[in-house]
Amino acid sequence: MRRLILILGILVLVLSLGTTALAQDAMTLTVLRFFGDCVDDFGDVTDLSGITSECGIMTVLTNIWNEEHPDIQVETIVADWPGTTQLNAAIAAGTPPDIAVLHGRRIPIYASRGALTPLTDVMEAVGIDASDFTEGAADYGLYQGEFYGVPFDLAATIWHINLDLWAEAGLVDDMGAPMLPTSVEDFVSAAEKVHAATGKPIAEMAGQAATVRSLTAYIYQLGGALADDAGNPTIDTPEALEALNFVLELQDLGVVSRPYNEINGAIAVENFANGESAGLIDGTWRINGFDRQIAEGDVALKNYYVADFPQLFDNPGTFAGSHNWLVPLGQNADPARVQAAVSFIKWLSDNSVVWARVGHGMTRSSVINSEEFQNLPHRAEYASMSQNVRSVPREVWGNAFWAIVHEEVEAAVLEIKTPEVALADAQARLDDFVLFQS
Amino acid sequence: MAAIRKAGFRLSKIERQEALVGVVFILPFLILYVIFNFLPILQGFWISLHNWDVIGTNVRFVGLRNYEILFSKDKLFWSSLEHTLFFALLAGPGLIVTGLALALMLNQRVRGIGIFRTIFYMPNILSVTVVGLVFARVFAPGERGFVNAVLSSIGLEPIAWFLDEANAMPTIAITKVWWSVGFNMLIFLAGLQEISQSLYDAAKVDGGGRWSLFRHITLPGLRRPMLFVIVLQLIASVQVFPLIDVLTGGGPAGSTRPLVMYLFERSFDYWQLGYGSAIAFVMFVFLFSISIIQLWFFSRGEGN
Repeated sequence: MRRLILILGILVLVLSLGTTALAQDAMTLTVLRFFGDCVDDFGDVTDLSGITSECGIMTVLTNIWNEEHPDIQVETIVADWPGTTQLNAAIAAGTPPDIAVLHGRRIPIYASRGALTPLTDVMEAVGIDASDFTEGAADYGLYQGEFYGVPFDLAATIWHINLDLWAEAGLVDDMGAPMLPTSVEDFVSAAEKVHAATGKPIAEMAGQAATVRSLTAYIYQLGGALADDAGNPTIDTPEALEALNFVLELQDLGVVSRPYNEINGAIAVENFANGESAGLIDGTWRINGFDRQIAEGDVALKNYYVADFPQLFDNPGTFAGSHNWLVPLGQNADPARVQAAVSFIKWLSDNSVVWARVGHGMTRSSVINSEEFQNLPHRAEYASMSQNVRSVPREVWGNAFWAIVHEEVEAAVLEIKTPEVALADAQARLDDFVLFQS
Repeated sequence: MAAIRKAGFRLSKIERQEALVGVVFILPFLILYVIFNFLPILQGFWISLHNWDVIGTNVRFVGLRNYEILFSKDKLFWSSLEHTLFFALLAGPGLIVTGLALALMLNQRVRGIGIFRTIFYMPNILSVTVVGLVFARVFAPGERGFVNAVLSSIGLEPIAWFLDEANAMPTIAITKVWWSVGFNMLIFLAGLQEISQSLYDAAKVDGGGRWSLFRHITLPGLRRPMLFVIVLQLIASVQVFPLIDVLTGGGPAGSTRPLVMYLFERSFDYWQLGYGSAIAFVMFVFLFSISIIQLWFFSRGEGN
């Protein structure tokens, strides 16, 4: 009896030690992300069928990873958009998460302060092929030639089109596709035809779509740049002035969009869904919502088409933002932890086609060319977007650029400032920012 | 203390013990106040003397340079201060006058008055996001907004409420009054109920009219609630941020950007925590001075 108790005791000890060792082997990574909290709806779900929301897809992807990888468990911390307040607080407190998601234009300022872990080598080690990223998309993760973020998607400005209204204006070809303008003259002529036939604008724009997003796209299309060779911001340039004057001309025409002060983002979207505009310049993130409304049949919009942001000058150029996964563990992070973190990021990237259901563009050529991606609604219609996107220059002032230029262009659009003064003021504010950082 | 000693005032042993007990009672609050209020204010001032990234990197002592830039070169600081004071000027009197008017109206002994008091106070319990979303709809541009739809129905042109620099701040002030007036109403109502009815009765016997009663009894009787409301209103107006953030984001073209929004932008969007702290400290000194002046002004009036 004593022997039996002794043997059982040893067994219990061995088993408990073994369990402890196993538990020690399992690594837990913390992921700080926005996209919302929907654990109540998707907390236990591991089947992605039919899920099209950002929050749902991200929650289920994490659940699947945790089920398939008992050795590397992922714990999610949900942050408020755009995620910077919680991330900054965590970094300042010396307790950064292992992984975070951020907009690509925010990466340079973090990287320049040594807050991010360089990823180029570890990406290669875990099998992320950097050459698979489209030329436009790769930029979003880079700072001074080094990857600090893995670009996950492209959220670009595109042209949402109501085919029925275009057909009324005789602007739909035999294949049922819109006859897209390729020059300023074409664009103005198409806008006039649509307005004459339907009384509605061809490309409704509100907020940033009518200011900084349009302006930067046209600057790129005109062959201009947003930074000089030294990396300093350049917005007070001949190309920027030409682009801004063009933005103002489009406003003045009265057939492209309703006046800027008569429309906001929410109403522009409602107008388009209700068939009150023939087109809407807005983001890729609207696609899934419009498709859902059409399927539910409660909107006037029936025949919906998605086109690239209009290219009206010599060069391609479209605004896009990009969600990037990064490792904010600093320069001297534990290599094993970084490798585990990047393995999770790679897995997300490999499964990013699911993320495309929301409407976002993809960053990897292999995903873009996949059958699954091509079979998603509308993707073939704006396929060139992933190649045409241009990121904000990869400089510490990238994020400040966005807010400052929007405000100054808005002042010009509302005739508070002349275009020349607006651009000069934007340049002065950006120069001040750079001076402050030095 | 010196005056007490001079007068030969001495605490007895029991009184000293009681005073000690009093000190012990307030000590926990005092300790927490020092840790969570007083020390952060000092630290904020210390940070304002530096270049200091929001994540705690790039820290460099610059002395008073941030203050020098603020006062001599920063046009946006001055325009934000201007917007803030404009907002305070628009919303402050509206909140006080409307609050007082509602309190006078609701200071009646009639059946069901509690329901009306609750109704008028209710907007105050709504979150800023809810108020922002509702009023973004109410004052939406074009004909989709509720107010513009009403204007159109009587043949008037729609107004660009939030997207016109001349209209945006008054529209925000109207929203603020609707949202917050219930609180002032409550304070004035409490003040009105403290005024003895015998004063009114005596004045009526002497032939006082309604305006005379209001001017010579009600208003002086509301001196303390009035002081409380004015000081609080001024502080709240200078600190305005979330409501404007939700309604206009500081636009159009920065024409409604208040000081706290500018402070937030510099500190958290531009990572210039040192500069943002300098703005915060200037705000603190400004508000502190104004509050002291107001208190002095009212206490002087009370003495008279």
